[in-house]
Amino acid sequence: MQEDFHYYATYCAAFLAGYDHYESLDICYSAQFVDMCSRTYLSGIKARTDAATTQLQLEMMDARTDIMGLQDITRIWASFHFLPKDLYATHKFRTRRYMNKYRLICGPNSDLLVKTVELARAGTLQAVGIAMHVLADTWAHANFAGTPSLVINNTTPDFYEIYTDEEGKEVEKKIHFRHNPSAADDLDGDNFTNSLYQGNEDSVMNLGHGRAGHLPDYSFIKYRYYPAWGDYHELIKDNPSDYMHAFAQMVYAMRYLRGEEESFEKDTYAWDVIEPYRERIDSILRKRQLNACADWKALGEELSGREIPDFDVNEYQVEYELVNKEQKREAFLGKFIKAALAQKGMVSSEIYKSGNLLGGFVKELLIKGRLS
Amino acid sequence: MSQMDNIVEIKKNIKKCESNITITGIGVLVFGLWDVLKFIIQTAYGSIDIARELSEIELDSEIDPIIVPLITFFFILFVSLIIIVVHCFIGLRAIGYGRGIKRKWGFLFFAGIIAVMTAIGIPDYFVSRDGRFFIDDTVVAAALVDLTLCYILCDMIFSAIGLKIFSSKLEQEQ
Repeated sequence: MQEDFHYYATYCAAFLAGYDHYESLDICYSAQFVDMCSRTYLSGIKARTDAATTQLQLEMMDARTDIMGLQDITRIWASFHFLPKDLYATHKFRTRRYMNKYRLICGPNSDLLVKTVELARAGTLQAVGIAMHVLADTWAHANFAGTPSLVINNTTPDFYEIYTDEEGKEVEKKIHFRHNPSAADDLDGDNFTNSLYQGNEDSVMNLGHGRAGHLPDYSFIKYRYYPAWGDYHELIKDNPSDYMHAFAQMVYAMRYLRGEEESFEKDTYAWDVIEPYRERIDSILRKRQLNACADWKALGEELSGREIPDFDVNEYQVEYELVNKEQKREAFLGKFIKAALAQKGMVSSEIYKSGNLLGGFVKELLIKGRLS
Repeated sequence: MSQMDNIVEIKKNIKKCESNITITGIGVLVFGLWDVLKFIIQTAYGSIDIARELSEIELDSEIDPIIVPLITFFFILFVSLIIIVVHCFIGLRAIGYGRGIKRKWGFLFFAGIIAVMTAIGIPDYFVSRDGRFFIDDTVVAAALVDLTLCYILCDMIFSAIGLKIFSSKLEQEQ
């Protein structure tokens, strides 16, 4: 997902869940900051670099793809952007090496999502924001894995957009990809950018949804394609529906985190809460545009009656740099770092417990012997 | 299994067959290059000795010394072209067939012929010039490569048959 959903839509969801304007700003800022908090940024503010929640393109270019490098990449991407759906999935006639990657395929309504939300319950608003980012991405980035893998994340070149014509019939048109990362996607000409095919299994180009370009991050698009792991089954990705579910689930999750729900259950949504705004939200999601920030911002400001400032990645940097070492934990970024470490630790631990070493070793579990 | 599940399963099998045909088509193109290379090496160093064949032809007068290498050159060129054209025909038609661009069966006939000819030629690798059984690593490697080509061509043919069968089943289900 992009800034329009992680920042502005999360603000709207937080406000609808009952948070006030300032709390909603803290939550949505943290949700969007997950896409900004790289090692480069953290080393710039002299913070712990192992709290990184993303990797910049330049960092990816320098990333090692030996086992240590793969574990480092997987820890970040699987923890924050491609939360695994089923760490104990089974598949006949597949090697262990394949299954380690297959089990990292992202999807909504997973056990790990429940753990993510419950982890945020005892935490700060920053933890809530991180959890909402992770939750939203389980919908957008479904069917891709947060580890470099050709056999999982590759696709055939057959992508077809499914849309409704003027007569109300569903029709298809082929999506054309080009490999020009500097050019914006051309919605009118149906020219989208995706990553180049890389035959190396562990190449960083095979991380996540690169082969589908930005399609998973556009809320308006419904399309079908063939993922490499799908054994020739085609997948239909209905982003308007998925994004609507993500929004409703965020509202439900934040109501739980505020204490208004007793538990957080999978496949449960706050449809009743968003019902008065559902049509408006649906129109925003289905509007064919590269960026829906303006529309979401307008909705958020109507809900709260307050202005939502634009996202500024450096907003809390000075605060963090000026406070002394003992007080850094109480600064905004300090709380974010703590929450990010907790989330990363939890996901890495769960991956390790499942017998999968792609998330790396977890020291405590290694010492105790793997917990059952 | 419901009708919808049946249709999904058939579509999956159709996609698999189409993919197989396309990939084997690409394989046949690549193996065309191998066949040309093999022929040139056999002519230059191996079992095909054109000069010797020509020297056994009785002629009334002596021929210009340049004729033998010239004939050899054109012979190699001619045969190489035939090999490339046949492989390109089979490979490109298979790719088109797999992608649904052209659904003509003709290339499968040639694929079958090449498969049979390749299979028949494999035992010949293990016979030396003086007719004795001979085996070494290069011979085994060459035989394995040709076996692979046979496999690819057979896979292409069976996938095309499978595609026809599954397409008919899909029409019946729909």
